[in-house]
This record gives sequence, structure tokens and C-alpha cells, in this order.
Amino acid sequence: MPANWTAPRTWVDLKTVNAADMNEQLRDNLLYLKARPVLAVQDLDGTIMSTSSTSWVGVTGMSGSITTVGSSKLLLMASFHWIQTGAPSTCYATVAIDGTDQGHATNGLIANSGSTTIAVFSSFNHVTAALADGAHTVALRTRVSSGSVDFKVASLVVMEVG
Amino acid sequence: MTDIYLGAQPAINWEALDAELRRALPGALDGTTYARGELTVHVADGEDAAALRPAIEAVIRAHDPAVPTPGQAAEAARAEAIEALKTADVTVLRTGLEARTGTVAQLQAQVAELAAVVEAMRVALGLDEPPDGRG
Repeated sequence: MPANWTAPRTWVDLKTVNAADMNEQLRDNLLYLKARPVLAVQDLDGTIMSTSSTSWVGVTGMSGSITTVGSSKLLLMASFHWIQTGAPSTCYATVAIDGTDQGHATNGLIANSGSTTIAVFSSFNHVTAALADGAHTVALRTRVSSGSVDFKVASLVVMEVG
Repeated sequence: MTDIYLGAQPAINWEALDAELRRALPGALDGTTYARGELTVHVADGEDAAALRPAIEAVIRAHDPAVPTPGQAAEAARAEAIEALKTADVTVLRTGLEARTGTVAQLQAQVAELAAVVEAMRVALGLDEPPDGRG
């Protein structure tokens, strides 16, 4: 059952607790924590995209929206199988929150270098800074230093954390 | 960066077309993306994407997907060499050489066949690019 999060009240002496208080402070908040927002997208077909872009571009289909409350952070978990060609080169991946790429400006959240064509299974985890309440767009992105990268399969899971 | 979406391009050799676009428009592109048969060209910052579009479309029209990149040609040569190794009858060659009963002409032919096997091994292992006309 969906529920809304309400900031926990600071209880004081002589406060009369009624059903509305209990439902709001305990029932609804517990229900919210039990089923807190999560975004999960994956593509396991085997051929997602190929790119030679040296600027960040979205990984096709690996995006979505998640709504946060209470100035929450987001836990980003991504895993993917990519093939790097045109070596020597480096391929990079990150996640953009509302269009802002996370991690290092050049390397993103993961970078993989190779001196020959290589197929790699990669993953990264990252916790964002606290975000403003509301809906946020989330997108897995990639780029290369040279050559190209083929994304074969990918999974992106995003959870609200405190 | 500005993206130019060029829609469905199901019949392209993406790796080759990417190289052709970069050659035709040096420094003007950040690259290309090919996803589910659809092509997007990423134009570098400071470039006029609208002005570049006709040149990009001309490259796509002239593109021949049957022409491989050097890397694709080398990979095809390696695959061909591996297949040649699988079918090479080295036992017959070795037996013939060890019998010492053949003529010089027969021996030369067997040495040549052995050299071809060694060449196929070199290509299959990717030790070097094969000379023109050999694979």
C-alpha cells in the first residue's frame, strides 16, 4: 500500500496521541520505509548500443524517474557488459541526476582502459549528495576517449536512502 | 554538444560509417551512436549542426556497408586463417616430409604448404597484419 512520508514528530509530555497521529507517524511512515522509492531498469537483449562519442551520451533505454522526500540521497547501482574497441582507449560510465553527471568530471563513476579490444563486465555503486524533494530523472551515460564501446547488457537500480 | 538524429539506418556498417564521418568532418564531431538500428551524430561544441547536416547526409548516402574497416578486414583474415588451420592436413604433410621418398618438386610443394600453415597460424594469432592478398 503506498504511503507518504511525514517528518517524524518530536514528542513532548502531555501530548495526547490519537489514531491520526499513530497512522501518520507509525503506520504510514513504516509503510513508506518498507516500500521506499526504487527505480530499476535493465536491458538483457544483448545489443543495446554502440557509440564513439567523446562527450557523455545516454545509454539507450537506461533511464527513468524517481521521487524523493525528506532531502534524501540516492544509492546508484549499475552493472553492465561492454566491449571496448579501437584500443588503446578508455571508456567511461556515470549516472546523470537531472542532467548533472555524478563523480569525476572526466572519469565519471568508472573508467576502463585497454590496449586491445576487450570485453568487460563492470559495475559501480555511488551515493549522491542530498537532493531536493521531488521527481528526479536518472540516466546511465557513457563516453570514450577514442575508439568505441558496445553496450551489450545493462542494469541500473536506484534507491532512495536517508 | 548537439545531437543530430538521423533515424533508422538498418543497413549500415556502423564502425565503417563512423570512421567515414570523422574523415569527412575532421574535428567537427564528438562521435556517433548506433542503437537499435538508429543513428545519432554528436556534433562538437562550437560547430553549426544545421550547417553540417547536409555533409553528414551525403556521407551516409555514399556509404557502402560492404566495405570493411581495416580492423574488420584484419578480423576477417584472422577468422579465415583459423578456418584454414582447422582444415589443414598437417599429418599428411609431416608424413610426406619424413618419408624422404619424394622428388625435389614434391618436397618444395610440401614446404610451401607448411609455410602456408605457419602463415595462417601467424594471422590467426594476430601476431602481425597479413601482407596484401594473403590471409
